[in-house]
Amino acid sequence: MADSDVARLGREVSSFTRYLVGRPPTQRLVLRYAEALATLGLAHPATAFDGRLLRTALVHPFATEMLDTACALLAKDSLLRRRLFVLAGLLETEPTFAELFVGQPPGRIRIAVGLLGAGTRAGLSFILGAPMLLALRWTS
Amino acid sequence: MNVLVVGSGAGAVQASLELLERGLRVRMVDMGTRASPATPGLPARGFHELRTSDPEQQDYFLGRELEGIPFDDIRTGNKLPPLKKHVIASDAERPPSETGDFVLNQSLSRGGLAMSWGAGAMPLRENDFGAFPYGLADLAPYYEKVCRTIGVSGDKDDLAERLQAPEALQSPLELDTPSARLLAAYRRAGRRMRDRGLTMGRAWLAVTTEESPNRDACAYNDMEFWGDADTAVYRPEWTLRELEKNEAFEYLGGLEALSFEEVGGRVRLDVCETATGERSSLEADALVLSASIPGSARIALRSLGRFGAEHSVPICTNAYSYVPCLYLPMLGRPVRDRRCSLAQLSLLFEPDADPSHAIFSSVFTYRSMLTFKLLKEAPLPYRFGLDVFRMLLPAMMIVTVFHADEPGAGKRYWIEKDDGGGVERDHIRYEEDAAITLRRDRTEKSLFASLRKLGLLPIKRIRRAPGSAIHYAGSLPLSARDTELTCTGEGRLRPFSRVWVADASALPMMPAVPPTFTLMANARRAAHHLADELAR
Ligand SMILES: Cc1cc2nc3c(=O)[nH]c(=O)nc-3n(C[C@H](O)[C@H](O)[C@H](O)COP(=O)(O)OP(=O)(O)OC[C@H]3O[C@@H](n4cnc5c(N)ncnc54)[C@H](O)[C@@H]3O)c2cc1C
Repeated sequence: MADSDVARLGREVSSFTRYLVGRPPTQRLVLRYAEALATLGLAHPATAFDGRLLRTALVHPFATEMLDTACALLAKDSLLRRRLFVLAGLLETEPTFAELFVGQPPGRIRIAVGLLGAGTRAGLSFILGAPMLLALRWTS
Repeated sequence: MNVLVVGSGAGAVQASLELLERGLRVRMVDMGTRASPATPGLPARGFHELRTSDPEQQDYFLGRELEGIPFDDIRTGNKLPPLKKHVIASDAERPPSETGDFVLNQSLSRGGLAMSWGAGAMPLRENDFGAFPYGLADLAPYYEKVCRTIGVSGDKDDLAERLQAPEALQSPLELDTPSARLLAAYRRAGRRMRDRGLTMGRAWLAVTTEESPNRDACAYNDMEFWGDADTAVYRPEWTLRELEKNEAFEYLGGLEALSFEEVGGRVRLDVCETATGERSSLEADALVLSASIPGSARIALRSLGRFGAEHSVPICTNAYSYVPCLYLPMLGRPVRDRRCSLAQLSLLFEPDADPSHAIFSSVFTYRSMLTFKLLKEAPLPYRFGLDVFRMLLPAMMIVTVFHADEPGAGKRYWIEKDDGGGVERDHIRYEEDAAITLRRDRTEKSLFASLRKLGLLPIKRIRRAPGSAIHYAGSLPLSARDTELTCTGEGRLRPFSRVWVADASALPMMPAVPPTFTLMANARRAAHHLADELAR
């Protein structure tokens, strides 16, 4: 892999990991991610839309959440969703991040507040992300 | 006297045990695929400990080829964990087939499908035997023998009252936190639930709770779904290892049984070496077909030269759905790490007296699954999904639903030769009556109405394609009627005098209760009658 590709993947893992679990990735995770994309045939965008989507998420990390939210409903099979899905699987099987997945649940009040907060945030993300996604789809 | 047994699955090993006990010699002919030598082993440590400390965990959770990261639709295909992947034959390994929507999972591996089964081991009830040419009393002694060889644990609770508990039943497995609460809620509701037709109890599982010289007791590592770090969960391999110590037994792996012929009071079996394609024949005093579905029927049809839809045989499978549920009383409550990851509870739902209307369900908790797999099923942004599932996971339960199935004109299996006459193809046509599908749907709804009263809220019913249950039966059915390609009450395949059937092909219908315990007991029974016949 060319140095520029390695650097780009490093930025991507860093941005996506912060988005998914709010923490920076480990170097090991970056390597596993690169290997996984190659193994699963996800190393290169298959369509121009996928390419634009990924580039936008990379250049504007704050947009990842909005684009992911919009893709969840409007572009389920997009490369962005697939790569995030792979990364979620890798994060879950990385001891450094395990406690985020296997820890005990918070109390009921925290669950209620957490669900309400996350739901509101997802709603807002969709409102902002959907037009961005449509614009990316229709840009030639 | 010697007998050839085709297959090495749950049915084959039970038949072999019985034949050896009766003083016969057994040669087992088996395709016998195994996991690649490079497949990693599973460390004998707990799920939580492995997740938080083992840097190599990806090997057994996701697989070296990352086959545990699923991109296809969960409604189709099979999701065996990476270490068990070899158990189900890939498209390249199995004969070509045209099965429409029907999902046909075959094993060509040593030990067969039960190398990855969920170990649910329950006997049939008296009223399930309507289509059998014999009754529960005839099978009970064989259930008892199977129970002793495979080790079944279970409780003598409400559910056991509805079934005839074998004496050899071992003490039950410990329940995990959510399941213990749910069972307590059911017990509090008492008669109200039973009046609705719902019986709940601990799952009967072929998982040992008592240590013996050949088997470990369950270590509650919560890793049983992922692989076998010990021998607590029954696998035919444990019996095969015992059989191989007996000098009257021989395992012939890497051989495909093609067809047979009865010659001069003996049977000749044509076989093909899977590695080289070289053909040869084996002879014996009798042949036991235990190559499962469709393996046994394929060999029998080929032997009689019956090709084409006009020579089809029946096929049955459980209609199957699974339902992720939220168990409200568990929200925000801590759970114990010490648990077994297989089914915790079993439910029998009988809306009326007709056993073909019954539902059998198993209740699982989601504790040792991987959260990220749920993400794909939910139309949520991944970050939100991870947060939500992390909070809700201890309260998540999965209820699997199995309906009984009976043979019918629209449910058939046959083999056909291509125009060129060379390549053989499996065919399945499986069409369920719309009225039956509707009735099943109504029964499921009333089951979940009862479960709601216990605090278990269904989130989504996921109906799987026919065959996805990986429970198949009925291609060479036991029958009182003297018709070609059915079995006599003793298990002999008509019209032959030296060929017997010892797998799920012989079951004349598919009960709601999982079939393997019964097919093993029937295999024992058939082998017993075969030994009697040879002694004559
Ligand atoms: C994930 C999973 C979970 C399950 N859970 C349960 C459960 O909880 N309870 C339950 O009751 N059942 C369960 N089952 C189903 C159960 O595993 C099967 O019903 C049972 O194992 C079938 O046993 P069998 O002996 O009939 O055939 P199989 O196990 O299919 O064995 C067939 C054997 O025949 C051999 N063979 C096939 N063709 C040939 C040939 N031409 N020549 C030579 N050898 C041949 C194969 O190598 C194999 O060894 C489950 C199955 C799966 C996959």
